[in-house]
Amino acid sequence: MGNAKVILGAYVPGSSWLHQLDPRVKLFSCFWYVVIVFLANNWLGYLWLFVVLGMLIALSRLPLKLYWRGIKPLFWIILFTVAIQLLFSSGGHVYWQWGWLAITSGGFYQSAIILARFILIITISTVLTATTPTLQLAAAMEAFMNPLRYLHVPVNQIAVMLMIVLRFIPTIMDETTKVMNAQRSRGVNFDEGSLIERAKRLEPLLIPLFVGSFKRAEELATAMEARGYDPDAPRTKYRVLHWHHNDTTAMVSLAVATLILLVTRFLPV
Amino acid sequence: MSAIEFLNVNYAYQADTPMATLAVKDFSLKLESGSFTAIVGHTGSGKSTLMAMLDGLLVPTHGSLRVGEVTIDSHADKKTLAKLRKGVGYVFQFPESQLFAETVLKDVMFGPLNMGVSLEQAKEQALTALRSLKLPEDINDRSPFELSGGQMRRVAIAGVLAMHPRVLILDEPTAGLDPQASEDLLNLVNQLHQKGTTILMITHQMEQAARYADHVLVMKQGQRTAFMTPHELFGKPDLLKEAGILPPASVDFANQLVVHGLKLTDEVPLTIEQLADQLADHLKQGGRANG
Amino acid sequence: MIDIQHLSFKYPDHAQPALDDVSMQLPMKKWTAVIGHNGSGKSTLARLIDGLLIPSSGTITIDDLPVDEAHLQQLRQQIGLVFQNPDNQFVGTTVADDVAFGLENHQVPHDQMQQRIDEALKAVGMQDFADSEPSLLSGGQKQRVALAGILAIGPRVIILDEATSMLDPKGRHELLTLLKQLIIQHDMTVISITHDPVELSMSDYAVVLDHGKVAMQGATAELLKEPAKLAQMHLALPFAQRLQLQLKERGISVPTQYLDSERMVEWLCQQLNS
Repeated sequence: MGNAKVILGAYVPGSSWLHQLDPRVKLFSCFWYVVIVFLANNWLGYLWLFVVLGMLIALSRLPLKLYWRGIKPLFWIILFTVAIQLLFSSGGHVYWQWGWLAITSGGFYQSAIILARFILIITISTVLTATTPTLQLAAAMEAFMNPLRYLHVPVNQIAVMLMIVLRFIPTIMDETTKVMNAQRSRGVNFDEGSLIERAKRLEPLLIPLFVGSFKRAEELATAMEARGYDPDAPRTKYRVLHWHHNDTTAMVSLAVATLILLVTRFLPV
Repeated sequence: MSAIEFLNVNYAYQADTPMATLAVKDFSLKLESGSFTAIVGHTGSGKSTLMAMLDGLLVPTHGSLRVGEVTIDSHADKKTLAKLRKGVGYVFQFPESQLFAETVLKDVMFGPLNMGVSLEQAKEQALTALRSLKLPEDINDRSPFELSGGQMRRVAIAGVLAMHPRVLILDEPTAGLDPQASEDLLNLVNQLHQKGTTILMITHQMEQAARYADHVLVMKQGQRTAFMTPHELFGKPDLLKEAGILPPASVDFANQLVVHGLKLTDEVPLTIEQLADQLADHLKQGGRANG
Repeated sequence: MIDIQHLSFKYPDHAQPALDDVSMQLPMKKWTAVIGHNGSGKSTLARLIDGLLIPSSGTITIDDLPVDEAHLQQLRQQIGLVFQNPDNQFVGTTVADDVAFGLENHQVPHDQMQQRIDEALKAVGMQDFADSEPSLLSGGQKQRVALAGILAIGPRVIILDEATSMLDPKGRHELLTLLKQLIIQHDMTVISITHDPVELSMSDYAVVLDHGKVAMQGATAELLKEPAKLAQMHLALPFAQRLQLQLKERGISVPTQYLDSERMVEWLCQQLNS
């Protein structure tokens, strides 16, 4: 169960204003925010984006440490990308040069932008996943897929599939630990030897998991059929999302924030 | 010298985090070589954690344990753990879910080969193990996935026995088997016990504990509630009640007779045969038997 | 009455039919146990009654409802199945969502759902777990949720396909006691496919299957009058019947009428206390 947390994101239970928002609003706003990050074209724009993010973090009532934990795993990738930008971008004043590597003022500028974008996008995603349970996120995704129905995309089936995936992740994780222990008990050492040797040792782990999952899928399909599931028939819904006053407020705020950002584009800074 | 010794063992999941939970608390126990211990307790009582440590799958957070010559504590390195596993076999719950090789024989040879024995030796050990589980020889070259559920279970157990463990751990080996297959399997475990293998069997079936084990270890919240012979344990209704254990049907039946004012002997009937013997004695003495 | 006439079924990849010209009449509003070894065809029978498999030949009718492809939707409404593996029939990410799954399939309107879920969970004693994730539940609790999912639909027949075989004795005992209670409360018909002798002793009617054929059928009390016959087929007997056989081996004759544990105790006390 401990492992499942890592995969399912970092929902932190709470009752903040953000926790209570409709997941559709949160998913859309997160997506929208990522888009407008690319609209900022000067330091004032980025400053405004950081201010908005800061307000959201405050509204989530979750400790800052948690957001830092969201960035930490990606630290090296960020550093690498920033370094590349720093060394390979050209333009502006040259501070240092070695062959075709150069640190220029243009490079500084570019890498600062990249760094800012990384932090903004990762942290806004953490705001979303930390305040929204996975089940609600799935419901929001389903809602957004709904129009695809008219393109004959099987939205209902995809929704059930999504639910089953979420349901079985912890089960499969448990199963993995169990099979791994059973094979370790039979003398397998999963974490020693060359890469090829290690890959070979995955066979006694992957085959049982594969076979087990197939058997599970077959039994589950029978059970679902017995419970009246018909992929082609209409179904009613237990989890229905309700739009509240706060959700309207959130959408209006999002529009205002976007407008302010657009204004910063034309300010002479 | 005892075969197995736990000394003040603690185990914490997610140690060093605020979420740390103690699954085993200050646990000490000695088991004799060649003994048969039944381990009972509810889910989360720490019995599986205890067995995982015995097989080197988990390392105690504090304290130490010894199996034969090998001693394990929180600093144990991989080599020592591997050495421990050589002497300990672990039949997990629903062990058929660990089968993977193309043929039954290859699957059973997998363990011995990992232990470093020669190909020929591994094959011999595998064939002997398969025979001891009364599996027909014509399945050896078939895929394990073509077999019936009961046969798969036996192939998986053969895969553990082929490693010739001196200590054998079994976790609910009869779960999901039909009564006949269960009895066959338990008889085999008992044979291994008689040949000198030290057996530890996790079970919810008190009939099994009463019939086969020489000691019963009762676990609750990471600690041992009791470690005694089946005779002692099942003669203590208060202790059983506190531990949430339903006694074997024969003991229950004898208790019912006591409630109706009929006490047979001081000896608790651990099996239905013992109960029938006691009843037959009484009925014949009473002169009322008419058969 | 569940009327089964000349039912045969053969899996495409098997040489022998799983069921071979089987006929039986199972009483409604009673508990029927179907016992037999693995491979005797008992699980196949459960799937045929629910229309999950289509018979090679023969017919099944449940009162007036014929089991065929044209009536599948009604059948799903009338019959609930609890399977062996608690994990592989739990569809929802929480207990409430799992109970809701069946309601959604049967297109129960949203405004009725919460009440039906609450009632069903209460009936199986799982009302405090509505928001729990399945990985935090025991096998016995999951099976109770499966039962709640069925009760929420309100069928007349519940089939247990070895539903207790993966549970520990406590979980098994709780589930069976609960079922016995529900039968009485809701006038339900239960068919339990099993090799658990306790389930057999709780039943009113029993069918013994052997290699795809009916070996015996009748009132459970009648069947258990002759425990030797069942023992010969290596079927597990209830404790009282096993004791009866053991006493017989020791030269004690026990009355040939059917005795459950309680009556066995009474009989022994009569013999020894007078």
